[in-house]
Amino acid sequence: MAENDVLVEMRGIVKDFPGVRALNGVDFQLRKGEVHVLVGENGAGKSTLVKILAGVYGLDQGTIVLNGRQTHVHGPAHAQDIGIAIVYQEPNLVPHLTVAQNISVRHEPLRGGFLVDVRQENERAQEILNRLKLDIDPSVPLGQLSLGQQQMVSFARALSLKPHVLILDEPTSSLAQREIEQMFAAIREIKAEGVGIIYISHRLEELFQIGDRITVLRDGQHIQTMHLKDTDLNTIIRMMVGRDISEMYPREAVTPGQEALRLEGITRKGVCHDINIVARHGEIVGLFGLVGAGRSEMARIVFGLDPRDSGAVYRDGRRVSHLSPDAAARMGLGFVTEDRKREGLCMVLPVRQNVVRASLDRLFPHWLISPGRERQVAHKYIAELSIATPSSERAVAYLSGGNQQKVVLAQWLCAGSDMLILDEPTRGIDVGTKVEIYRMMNRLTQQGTSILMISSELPEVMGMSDRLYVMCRGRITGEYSRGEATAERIVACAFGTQEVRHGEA
Amino acid sequence: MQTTRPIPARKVPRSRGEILASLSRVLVLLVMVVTMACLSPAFLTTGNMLNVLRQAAPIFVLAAGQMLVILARGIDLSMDSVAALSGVVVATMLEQEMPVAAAMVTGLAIGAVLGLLNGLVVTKIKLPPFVTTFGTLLLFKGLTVLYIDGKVIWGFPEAFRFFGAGRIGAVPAVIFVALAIFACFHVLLRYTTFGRKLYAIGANPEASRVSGIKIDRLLVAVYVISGVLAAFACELYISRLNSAKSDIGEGFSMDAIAATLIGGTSFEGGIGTIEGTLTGALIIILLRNAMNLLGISPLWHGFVTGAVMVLAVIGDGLLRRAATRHIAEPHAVREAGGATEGR
Amino acid sequence: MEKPSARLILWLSRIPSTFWILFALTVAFSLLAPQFPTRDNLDNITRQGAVLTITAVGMMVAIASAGIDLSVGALIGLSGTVIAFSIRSGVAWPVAAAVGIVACGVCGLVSGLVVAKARIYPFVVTFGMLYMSRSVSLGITQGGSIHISDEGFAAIAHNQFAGLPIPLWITLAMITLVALLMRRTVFGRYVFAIGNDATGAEWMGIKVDLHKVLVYLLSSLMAGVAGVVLASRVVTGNALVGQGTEFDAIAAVVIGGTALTGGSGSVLGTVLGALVITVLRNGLSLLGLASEVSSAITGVTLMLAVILAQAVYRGGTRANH
Repeated sequence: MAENDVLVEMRGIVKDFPGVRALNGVDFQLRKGEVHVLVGENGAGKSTLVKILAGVYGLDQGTIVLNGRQTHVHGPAHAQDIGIAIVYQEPNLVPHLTVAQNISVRHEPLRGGFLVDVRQENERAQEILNRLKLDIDPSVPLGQLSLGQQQMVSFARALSLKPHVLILDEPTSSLAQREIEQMFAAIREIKAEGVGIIYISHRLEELFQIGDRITVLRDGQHIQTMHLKDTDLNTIIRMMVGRDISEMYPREAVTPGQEALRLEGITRKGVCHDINIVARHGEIVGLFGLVGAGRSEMARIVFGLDPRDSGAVYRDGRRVSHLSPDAAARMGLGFVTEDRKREGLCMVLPVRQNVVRASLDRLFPHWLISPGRERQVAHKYIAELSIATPSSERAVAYLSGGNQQKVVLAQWLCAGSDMLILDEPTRGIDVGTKVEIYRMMNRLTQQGTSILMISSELPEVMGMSDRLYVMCRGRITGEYSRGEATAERIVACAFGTQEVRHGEA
Repeated sequence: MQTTRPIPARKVPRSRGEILASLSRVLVLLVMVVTMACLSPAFLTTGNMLNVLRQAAPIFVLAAGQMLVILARGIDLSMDSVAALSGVVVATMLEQEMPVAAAMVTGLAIGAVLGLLNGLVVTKIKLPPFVTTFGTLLLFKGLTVLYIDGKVIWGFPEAFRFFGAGRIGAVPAVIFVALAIFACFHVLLRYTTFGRKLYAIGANPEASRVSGIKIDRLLVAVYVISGVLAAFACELYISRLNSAKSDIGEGFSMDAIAATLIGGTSFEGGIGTIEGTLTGALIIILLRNAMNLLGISPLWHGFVTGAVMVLAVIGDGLLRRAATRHIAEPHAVREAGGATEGR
Repeated sequence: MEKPSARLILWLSRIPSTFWILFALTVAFSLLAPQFPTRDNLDNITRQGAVLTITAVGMMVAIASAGIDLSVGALIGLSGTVIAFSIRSGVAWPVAAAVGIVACGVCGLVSGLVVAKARIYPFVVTFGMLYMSRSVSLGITQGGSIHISDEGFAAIAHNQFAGLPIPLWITLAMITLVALLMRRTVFGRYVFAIGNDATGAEWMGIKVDLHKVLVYLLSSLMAGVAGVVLASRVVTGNALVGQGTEFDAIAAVVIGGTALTGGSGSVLGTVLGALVITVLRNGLSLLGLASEVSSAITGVTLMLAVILAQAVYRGGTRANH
């Protein structure tokens, strides 16, 4: 009977974070022996939902019913005790400890009630590694393994906890193809044993391989749950995005002007190889690829944050001899980094100071600051970008993600940048602000600004770019003009299975 | 349009949290003064008050330098030895009857050079500040002992003694010195690009780097200033004590760190005011003064200073955390952090 | 992936490098100072090194947890002070020793609770505890020193057992205890996990707060034991005994190869690091140099050790990508 099959039922889950409501009354149900895929754009709330189940976050409203009994998950340890295990995108393990030690955390075999039985620990670890057909020595320190292998150990640990519910939050982003297959094989095995699996992924292509049912979240709300066999990729994308692509991505193309930025042969060992990209004034150039393709790393090189082995950067046709962040800023380059909390904003400082941070020497060439002028300049950009803050004195930390991103953008506009590199500009932002940012991008290109937009969201890249490049494992594997390629083609380039070069110069 | 998800601003006072933090210190100061005035008639006399200010001045000078370093996410443990080395050189020069101005300037120059060394090791060799200044603490101390051995130098010229022991009218000269430094720092931190960049570096070094701020240059400058102020504070001390030997300067960095933290500067960097630091120095001295007047043994000074410091930091933490509930994520704190919080 | 040559260099320059430094120092001092390689001096080194080694292994645990304990020097003094006071008040010396150790433990408990619950940086908390515990010592001794006249107690540092100095036995016992804790109990693993990434450890289900408290309890107890040994050697209890040991301990841990950022650590490396510093001080004092000078050399050695460790780390991680 269907009722007995239900492992987990989450009802009316509400979760707030400062400045944003991450989940707004979400329902979710997991059955025994199913792989239930959970999708949604960045900021849709899928990660938050499963973390509540895994005991990492507490919920503000709603109930969790486990095996028919209402349960309150006190914390990660409690979640593990009641049979819920989770694997994160990056292996959450300890490099200094051995593989076996990592696997056995919280369920170490003890001898004499106090000391760990090392031999049994290694044996148990070997067992599970064998079961997953992994060629890893359990007595080796974890730090010596590759990222993909570490992630597989993470997976092995979750399995060793013998969970009833297994949550996989973007588990495959650092895995090689063979490892992905090993993981999927294991998933199918435990499925048959009645374990319920929640699978979150951005890799829409994978879902049909592994999933039974799918739930789409958008803006912290439950949109639809259905069987994967009853649907297709386009429907799913449309539900994730919530509107027609053209409506969501209001790109108004502009006649491109002169070349604003040209990258020739940018190479750095282990990061990128022979990157050639051109961006012209008034253009939005997209750069798509999977995580690990090397796009952000390449952008950091262009902006002068990391060194390069060879290659040249041309700004408005002139070769740049010395790449450094302040030289880049002076040349009118701006870089909105991937992780605004880590590299984009000084969270404890007021909005005002964040806006002018890249322009201090330009605005105040004689060292002395006039607070009045500073405030005036900041307010100008706060107004221009419609940044929602009661005052420019408020610390940036209190703003919502979308407004924080606007502050980062404001910083570069204030610095007079007309060549912007935007790395995942709409990550972790609500839909309303996303559209605002896209409209801002339009306005900027109309004024002649050139934008290089790095993004992992296929609809966004296809919707907003005038031209786009695809990167895979450090190389450019595709170059298209707007509308020239299908989603499948672009994704294929990102996976490196098809190299197509088109192009106008 | 779809449901707007950003929820309206909440009731918890926000950037007011910062204002509350600095206000609370002035309040604590006032409460202390009032309490002591009631408890002991000798407290609110001009003589006693001037005494307090006189003692707080050198600590404030040290704390000002330390504060700059801590603001930039650094730390300067070497103040003790920078003070000692520059102090004994000044003392020796004075003993050899060199002009007071020359001796004092040389002392400051030595402080600057030692500070420069700290700054270069931190920025060029990329040694963590904790290890660097710990190493130079020991190194400079060794040099001091080699230079002066066990010798004691005493008896300095009037002109030199003026700074630490002299008066302008009824007010000790050293108070004016401290006020001058206070004024400079106030302007430096609030009204210069240097100050803005310093706060930015302390709040987020990576973001500052992306914004084009030349971090290395600023860090070196900060360590140089700290070195100069350590040397200067030592000159004030030996000027007052009228003697110098190799163990002068002991406890300087500790007192400076304590005053800085009690004054509300965040150990994480990026938050702190010179007014707060001044208050911190005053609180430390007031506590000691109060304990003396109440007949409490000076042996308990350390206990009270330590306890107040920890309580101040806890209080700050509560005020600030109530405001910014960062969602803790793994990996996020891996870069900064560790035994010395990224220092 | 990862080059075998990089792994070899990593392995070679970790623990063995401290060993080679020790070896080089021993050879150098044996040549420069004839009194160095004598049996008497080796005995001396063992007794002197005991205090530092015991303190250092406790410090290693704190540093491995991405914390630090600046109060250990003051706690050593506190231990001695409490012991001296107790013995003078007529308490039998074994009980007095126990009380001294417990007193340190209480301080460690307080430090640990403030670090874990109030979430204040260990640097700040233990710095405050340093002030406070030293002040308590001053209060107990009224600013002076208390002489310990108990023969039995003094015997700890001055006598032998089964051919080896008693302090050596105590040191070996403490080393074994900490090594066992770090390698063979869950405590040790969880300390590394917390030091590597406290939030990640939380997400793994580890009780981070509890283990942080235990870390500071352990390091303070080690300081307490070291305090017993030192008090026995100088037969005095006062606040300044042991002052500065915290910095030597940190140096020992870092020279021994443990990263200040936490998440890793080696008892053997720490012991070797403590030996390096002890031998350095001993040799330099035999050569007639002031203690501040040998401290200066220790400081420079520390800086060089960290530079070396960083260079290797960078070379190593590049190989792992």
